[in-house]
Amino acid sequence: MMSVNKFKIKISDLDNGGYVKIPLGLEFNSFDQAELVNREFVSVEVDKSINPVIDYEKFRFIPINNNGADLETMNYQLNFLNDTNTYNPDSYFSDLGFTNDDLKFRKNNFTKSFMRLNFYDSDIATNQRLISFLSIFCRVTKKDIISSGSGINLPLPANSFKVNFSLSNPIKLPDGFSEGYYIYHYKDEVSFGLPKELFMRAEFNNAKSGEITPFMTSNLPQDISTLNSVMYTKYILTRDDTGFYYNVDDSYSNNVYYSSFTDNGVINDDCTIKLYEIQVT
Amino acid sequence: MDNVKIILNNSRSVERVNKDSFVKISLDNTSRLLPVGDINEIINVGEVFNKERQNSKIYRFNFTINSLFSNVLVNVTGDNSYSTFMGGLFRDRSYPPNGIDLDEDEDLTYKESIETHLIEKDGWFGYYDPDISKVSNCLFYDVNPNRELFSLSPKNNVKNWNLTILYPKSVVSNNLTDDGLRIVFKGSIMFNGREMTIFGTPVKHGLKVGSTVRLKNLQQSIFNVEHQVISLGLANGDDSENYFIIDLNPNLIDLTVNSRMSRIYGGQESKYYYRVFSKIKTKSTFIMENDDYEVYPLAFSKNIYNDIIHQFNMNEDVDISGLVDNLGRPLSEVYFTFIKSDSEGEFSDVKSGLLMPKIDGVEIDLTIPDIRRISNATNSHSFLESGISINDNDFIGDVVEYNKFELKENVLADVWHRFNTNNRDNGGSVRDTVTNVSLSLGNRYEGYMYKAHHLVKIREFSNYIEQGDSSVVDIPDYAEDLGDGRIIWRDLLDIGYNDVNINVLDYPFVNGVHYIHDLFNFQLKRQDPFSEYGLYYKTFPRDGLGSMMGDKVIIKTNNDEC
Repeated sequence: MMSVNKFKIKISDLDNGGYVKIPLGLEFNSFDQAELVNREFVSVEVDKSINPVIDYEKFRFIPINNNGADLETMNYQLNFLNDTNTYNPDSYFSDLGFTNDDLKFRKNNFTKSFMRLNFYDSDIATNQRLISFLSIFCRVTKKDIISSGSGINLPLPANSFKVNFSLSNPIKLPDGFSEGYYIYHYKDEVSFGLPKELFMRAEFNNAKSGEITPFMTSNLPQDISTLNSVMYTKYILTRDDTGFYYNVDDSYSNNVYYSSFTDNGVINDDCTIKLYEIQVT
Repeated sequence: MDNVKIILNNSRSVERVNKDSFVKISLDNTSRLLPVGDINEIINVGEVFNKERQNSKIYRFNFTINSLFSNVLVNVTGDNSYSTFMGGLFRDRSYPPNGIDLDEDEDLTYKESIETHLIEKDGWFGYYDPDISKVSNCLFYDVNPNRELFSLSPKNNVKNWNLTILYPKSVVSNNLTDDGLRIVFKGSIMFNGREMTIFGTPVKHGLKVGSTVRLKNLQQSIFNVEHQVISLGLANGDDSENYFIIDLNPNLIDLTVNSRMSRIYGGQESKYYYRVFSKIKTKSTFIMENDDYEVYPLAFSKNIYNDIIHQFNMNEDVDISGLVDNLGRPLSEVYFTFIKSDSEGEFSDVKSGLLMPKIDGVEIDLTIPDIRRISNATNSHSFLESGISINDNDFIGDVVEYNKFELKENVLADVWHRFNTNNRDNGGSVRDTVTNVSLSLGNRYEGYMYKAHHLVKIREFSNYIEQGDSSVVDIPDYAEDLGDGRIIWRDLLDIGYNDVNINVLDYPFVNGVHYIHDLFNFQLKRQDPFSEYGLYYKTFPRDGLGSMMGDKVIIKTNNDEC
């Protein structure tokens, strides 16, 4: 139905040059808004449906101390509970049920036992994601060998072989064990001036007994309500224009110790991380 | 709907006049928009990938380096040098050897000592320990410069080689390329029973049979016009890229010190110049820094000469956005560059020159930067650059010819670097303890040389040349305006696009960046292995002389059935 007014003008009325002006203002508007829909909705939704480009490339992070010096060795010292539910100054493989032959012949129960370092993005257990983990297997390295005097070199006996993982710089100390010395993390998550924090929780997987032993950062028995506060060791990943580095935060937990010694005039910097089998009161 | 009658005023009364009347007409629309139905949009994954790929300007380079090094040019004095073989333990053959009494019949002279002990193993010169009292006599010692001074991976944090990525940014010119390419040789040659003139250029001339060439600055100006190339190369066909033949009487032609040639293509004269390479940009810095990469030996990886194969890996992402080459075009190629360090004072400074075959006329012209004739001696040919260091930002890359009608640069010569040990440059002497005669070991100016810049292709230009005029849209800003209304250019092809090339340029695109991997054979050569360039040291104890390969042609006799 038309909703306009009708006018009737006789031809004779216009014979003498009369005219009628009819102002018609018209603003165009497409009827079904197809163009607008395509522009403002479809293309936006299409873009939203395409996954963003994520850089999955990881980079190698080198350990440094609080002064920024490269570390020669990262030591992980595991302390297990003894029969009296206390910690000895050092734990030995014999405490975990390993025999001399296990070490001497590098039996599978020894070489397939490993320490696992789980790295989380948060220390809040209810809201954290596992970012990555490192598996560091038991090995006999050059420093674990003693000379028997008869020309046959054997590993230390199980009751003298500490459950320590000494991870060394593979370039400076190629005779050592370097798996786990570096940390590998996503390149684009660490930018200049914006460090990335990772929270590490450790466990030991014993292939001899099949047991998995979780560790904490305190050598004191914990109440279940305080356990979470001593579960993690904090790693800070940084980068500058010289490279990518990580530092273990010795102010976050009390189990991180930096040391320095001079060998043949060369200063070597080390880091020791002590981990204790979880004990809950 | 209302009916309204409008009557003109003059039809109502003779005294009334017509007036303009306005009627407001409201146009109301009471219809509603139709509801939008289901909208389906198909996303082409291939298109999305290609769009992201073509838009990305970030590159990650990873190269494998198969190096061939040798220490054939031995130090004259100091530890593990020519003077070492004067030592008592090397010469004492009487039993038991004490290294002191050297005048017995069976003892070796200095010459015999060198001939006996100095041996080559996989390209490395050295000796086995002559001390028979040692537990093992199978230890091989390199003479200096030893292999650790050439190693691509740093030793004790000392880099023997610095590596970087460059791109062609600008151009320079000198006496070789100014207003055409230098001609250094003119001779006579018989071709098809007719005496013609053969010309020689220090670098490749870029001509083909039938090409048009313009000669310049010949003594007889009548010949300074365009000619057609009849043939290429010497009479035996050698060096066809450096010699060209023109049907002129050689007896009527004389060169000047400024004689030149230019190739003519479609009436357009080619330009000749050096390209200057500059350090590339990374995501975090405007120019690539020397700690933006790592070089390390590949595990279990050696070549047939037992040289360790290395890997070059960039820690920083290269960002080519905003970079253009010397012709103002988007980057289509970058260069992987090696620069020798002095290895803590062991080696002399690095100088650059051009690799060229042995062309008549070059020897007497010291301005020609022939890399095989550049040394630290007083009669050295001039160099392009000296004291080349990784701290420099610009490096001379190569000599090219560019013709506006072809829109393509043809590389005529590569830049090589040379260096020597300071010990050899400075020379020395050794005293024979038996005869008490001092023997000069000489200043040995022959050094090592290597190709500095290695091409890495990242994009391709089209084979087809586009043509348009000012009315054509989407002409790239690097197009050539020919000045007659025509504008021509080559399109920059998409990565992975096959433009009648046999080898399509295609490389992985993941993580939003391009990954380029390539293998480079990196050879360190000596400057004068066959004593052709005046640098070879011939006096005893002379440097090792190369064994030249001859033509493998066997002509059987008539009666030889085999």
